[in-house]
Amino acid sequence: MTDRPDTLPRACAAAREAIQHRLDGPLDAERSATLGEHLTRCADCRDYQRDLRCVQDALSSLPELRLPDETLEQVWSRTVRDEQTFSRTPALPRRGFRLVYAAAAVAVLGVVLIFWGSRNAPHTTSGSADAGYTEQQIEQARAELGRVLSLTSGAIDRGTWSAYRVLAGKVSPALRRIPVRLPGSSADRKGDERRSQT
Amino acid sequence: MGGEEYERLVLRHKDRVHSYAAWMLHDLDEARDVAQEALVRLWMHRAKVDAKTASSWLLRTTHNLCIDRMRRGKVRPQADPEVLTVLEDRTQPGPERSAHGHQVAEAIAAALKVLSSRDRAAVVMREVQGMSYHEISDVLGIPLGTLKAALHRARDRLRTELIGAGVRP
Repeated sequence: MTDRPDTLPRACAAAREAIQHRLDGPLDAERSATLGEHLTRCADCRDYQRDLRCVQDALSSLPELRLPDETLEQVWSRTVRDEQTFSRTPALPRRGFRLVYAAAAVAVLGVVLIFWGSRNAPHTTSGSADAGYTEQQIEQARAELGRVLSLTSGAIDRGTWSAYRVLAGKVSPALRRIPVRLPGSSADRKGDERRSQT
Repeated sequence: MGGEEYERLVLRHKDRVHSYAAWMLHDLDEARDVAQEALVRLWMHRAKVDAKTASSWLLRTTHNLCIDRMRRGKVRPQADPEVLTVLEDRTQPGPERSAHGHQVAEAIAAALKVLSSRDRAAVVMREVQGMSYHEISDVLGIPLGTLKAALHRARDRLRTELIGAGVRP
């Protein structure tokens, strides 16, 4: 029977609602008695009750579908094994914060490089090219800093600690190529010798 | 949540998550992808997901991923024949199970497809996975009354579909 509730006699509509509620949990005594009384004299509602119980049984008999082993293997390789490749570290902060941290790190790096550069540059009043750096070196430094920035944003997009570890391996060589003379470096000593000669 | 706790949770919930996606999407390839994504997301959010609520969290994530796939039209319009094959393999009539029961189970798996996504989610969680009303209400983010109405509607529709398909429950 496929009657719509709004075309059913009122007593049948109420009984079917009660049948549904009984599938959700026990009815109160009064409602249960009213339903029982209705079911003794209404074959359609008895069928309805039997049908719904069968639907419920059929649904509960649907099997649990096992996740294939190869999919589970992919889960491990994307999670715990990826982590074990490097070291166990806490979860990353939220993406927005990661962006802020990375931007702050690059800004600090830039300030440090400028500070070291200015401390070790000859004291002249002319342009940067006269301060011991060629235009080519300045351009190279600018290009390397840009590369560091793009590597950093790439790691943010991947968003895993392992990506940061890989990134560290790429950023360090990139930073070393920036032509800034650090205190005590051989380039710095050569600059001092050149300045003392003049 | 550490690595060991995560592994324990994955082993406990992986089949449930996969089954839910399979019955929601009726597509085993998509269900595998969704299950994998949900489990990986649990790892990514392990800092804020408590082990005690991981079960609900996983199912909510799986449900949202399924809805995304449906909205993007990535799900086939017809039930995946592979799902029905799996059903046949897993529900071979045994001593305690009649051939008619098997026929009804197969028909009901196909009939799930006609339900709205919310009604299907409610009925799969309640009747297939045996979750409590409160847990389902929490996972789907709907009040208890709305959930019960969805369940009543879904059972009625499934009954009608089965009768229409010539399989009297």
